[in-house]
Amino acid sequence: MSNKRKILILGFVLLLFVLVLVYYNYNPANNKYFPKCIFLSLTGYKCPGCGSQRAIYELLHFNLVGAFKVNMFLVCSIPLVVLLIVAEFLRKKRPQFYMQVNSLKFIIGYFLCVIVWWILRNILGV
Amino acid sequence: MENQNKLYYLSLKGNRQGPFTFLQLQNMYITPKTMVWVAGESGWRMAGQLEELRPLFYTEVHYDQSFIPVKTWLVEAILVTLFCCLPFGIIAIVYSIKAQSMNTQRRRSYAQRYSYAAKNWILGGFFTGLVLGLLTFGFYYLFGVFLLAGVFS
Repeated sequence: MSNKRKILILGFVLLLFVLVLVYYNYNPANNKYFPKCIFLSLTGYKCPGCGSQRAIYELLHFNLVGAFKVNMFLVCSIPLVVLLIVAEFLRKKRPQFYMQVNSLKFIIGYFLCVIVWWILRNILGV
Repeated sequence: MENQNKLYYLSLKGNRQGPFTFLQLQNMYITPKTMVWVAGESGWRMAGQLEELRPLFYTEVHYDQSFIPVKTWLVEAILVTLFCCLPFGIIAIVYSIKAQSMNTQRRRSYAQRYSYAAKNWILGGFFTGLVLGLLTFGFYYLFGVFLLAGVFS
């Protein structure tokens, strides 16, 4: 592993640690210092990721229901994201597995889900 | 191997293709759900149901080792979509899908091109999100400073 890569990974782990600390200790729902969604402030419409910060806060407190209420799409995406990350690490060793996880129907389906979620949440207000 | 003399027909997108030998199948992209007809036997079956084709899906030994799929950046694209509030992530997902589509066709150079585009949209989305996020934070910080200055003046 090259030095640059090591530093990158170290920096990433540190950043993750800090973020976990911040999102565990402060609730974005009643704290104005957290970054606001740019898309929401500009257009007045929610983006697919609105509520992610609150969802992370709830997830760090093992409150799955609370997380589901603020951004159910994020909660539903977690298993997929984990699977994709595993496949990513095994890409060169297990190309077949990578191809199965990234199967076209599956990822196009996911993409359509993002779009449907984006539209529905603005209609239904979830 | 006993299946080396067998011939296989595939149904790909509704078209019958073949015949192929087992060795040829190893270099094709088939899934356990691909419909296969073994010459001399009756009826189409899913490739996953044929015992002799199992090595194609469940071990690496017979897999075309020369093809390593290009990184699609899908995870990163999803994370940027969920955390950076900008449509950039969605564009990145589209390029990821295009890259993967080229992967399944074993067209590495095209896949590389789309993969690169996906990466750029992800970086764009990530840094724009980061900067705008920090700006909102900075705004509140400045606001607080002005408020304090107002209180003490």
